[in-house]
Amino acid sequence: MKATDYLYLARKDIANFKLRSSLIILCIGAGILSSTLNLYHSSKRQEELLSSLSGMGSQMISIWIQDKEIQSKDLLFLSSYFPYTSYQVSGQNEIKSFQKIKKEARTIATVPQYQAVHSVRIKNGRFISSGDIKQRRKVCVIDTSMANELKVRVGKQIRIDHDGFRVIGLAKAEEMMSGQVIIPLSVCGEVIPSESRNFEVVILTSGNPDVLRKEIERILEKRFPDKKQKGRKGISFDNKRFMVSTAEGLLGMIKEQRWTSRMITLGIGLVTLILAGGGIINLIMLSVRQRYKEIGVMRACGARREEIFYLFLLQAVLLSFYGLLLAGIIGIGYVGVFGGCGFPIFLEGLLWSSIVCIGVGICGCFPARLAANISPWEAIRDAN
Amino acid sequence: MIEMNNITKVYQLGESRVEALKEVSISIEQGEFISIMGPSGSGKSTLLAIMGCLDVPASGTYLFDKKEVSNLTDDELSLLRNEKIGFVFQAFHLLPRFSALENVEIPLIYKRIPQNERKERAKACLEQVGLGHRMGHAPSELSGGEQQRVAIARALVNSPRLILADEPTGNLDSTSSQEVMDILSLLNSEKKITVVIITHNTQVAERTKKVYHLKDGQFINESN
Ligand SMILES: Nc1ncnc2c1ncn2[C@@H]1O[C@H](COP(=O)(O)OP(=O)(O)OP(=O)(O)O)[C@@H](O)[C@H]1O
Ligand SMILES: [Mg+2]
Repeated sequence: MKATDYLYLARKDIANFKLRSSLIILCIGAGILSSTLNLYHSSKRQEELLSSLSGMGSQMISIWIQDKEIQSKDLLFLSSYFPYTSYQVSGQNEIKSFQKIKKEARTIATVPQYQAVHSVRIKNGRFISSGDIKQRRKVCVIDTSMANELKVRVGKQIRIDHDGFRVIGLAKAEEMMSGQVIIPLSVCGEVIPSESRNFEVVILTSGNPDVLRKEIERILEKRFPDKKQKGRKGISFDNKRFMVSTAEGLLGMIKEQRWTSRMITLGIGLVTLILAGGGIINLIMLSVRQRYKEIGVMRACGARREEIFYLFLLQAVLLSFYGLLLAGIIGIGYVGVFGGCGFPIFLEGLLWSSIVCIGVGICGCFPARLAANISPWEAIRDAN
Repeated sequence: MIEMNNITKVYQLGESRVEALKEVSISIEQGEFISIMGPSGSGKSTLLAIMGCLDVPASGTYLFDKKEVSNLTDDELSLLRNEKIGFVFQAFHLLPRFSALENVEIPLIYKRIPQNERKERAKACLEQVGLGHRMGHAPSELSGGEQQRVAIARALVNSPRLILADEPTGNLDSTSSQEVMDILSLLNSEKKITVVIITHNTQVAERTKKVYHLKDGQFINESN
């Protein structure tokens, strides 16, 4: 029997159990899709963490503000303790030059101290000044490589979403600056959408970062005590309003995040494997039982055991392949629409999913073996 | 061609033992046309299954073309059935989701014949049994007689040396029975295919050249 004949026969069987087959395909597809998207999203978050880490020397302390009610002015007091304190509100925006060149970028609204804290080197023009902040000037600093992409020079205008901003400085193209647009902190409200807004304070210190981290945590906890919230069943839980970490701590967090996201992916994959694998065993058992007599007839016509085995195994493999295809198409569409920065991660997810699919396919081995071991005469006799 | 010596077959059903065949011996030459008669439960189908290598005897020797069948592997038995034996059953046993043509193609699929040649050969066989105009029909769209003719076309598509038919006319009216018997005797006389028919019908048995009678798992006198 040749491959095309196997395919032909297996397809006929799948068509015979349309509802069950589509349910299994959906189950595999949904499982793979959710585990892959989980991997994709968590890695996007890791990238954000990494990007804030990349500009952070070992002497830095980062404060993530999780409570949207806390604003930059509430934290200005930190500057009196630490001269090098950078307040940064960031979000995703679409940048457009007047030549209609579009680009996704991370917009960071910040203060002049940003330059020192992150050691930004200016090649042309100047950095954001305190005057820009006071006057709420719509100006921005980008790096030379983005300037080349957008075909702009110092003094020219670009659009961030719908607002025009004048380029006042070009920074040296370095990892820290890539894909970023820096604007004065005071104009962030008009530009950065509040739902995707991140607020972070980065402090450059000369002391022991671990000791200082604890100190800052203590000060902040005093000022912004944790809100005790009532859950639905009356259980109260802590709601952290901020998170203080050192570069080292941040690195640990990223590692931990990587691990948990891999574990969740693995978990979803495993559940998919169990559900879809069980479904497939059930479906193929059914098909074997329904075709009991036919298996006998095929054997009488000269089918070898292994040919019966592969015929039923192929059904399982085809079903899981269709599931993978479904997840792949939806997933690629999704990644295409919602930004492509995690595409390699998405592919990695699909790779893992293929392993799940192979596992699901292997589940088909059990019923396929049963089918192959049916004695031809018993099957034919039974039907007489 | 077929040399069976002291073949026994025992079915163990819990406590009770059914001896379906008791030391049956039979030898069939190439080109013979024989029928086996006998009351229900006498072991006819059991004998046919062993002859067709679908089942194995409990004891005894079975030589097919001078080769001991019990020495063959499962794959070799499949090949033997595929190339040398064609089966026809009382209940036709066509695959319901396949058209007449596709049903006839099945033995060729297992012989790895390329698709074009397969279709040609299957068509030719269907025409031979007078069903050239029914090739695309599903079995459920065919009459009993037509279904049995499709089954015969399937049995002969690989040019077998032996056709084993277990009550081929059992589900058919007399006209269809005649047609089926016409085809089987033609295959025997023209292509020298050995044909073994199990039947309850004396008219059917009369058309064969030799009749064996089986009773309680043993042959009784043999008549010509
Ligand atoms: N799988 C089985 N398990 C138990 N007993 C069996 C089995 N197959 C056949 N038998 C018994 O063996 C005997 C012979 O059966 P067989 O089917 O060969 O009879 P037969 O001559 O073909 O009868 P019929 O004319 O009704 O088809 C019967 O008594 C039957 O009950
Ligand atoms: Mg019988």
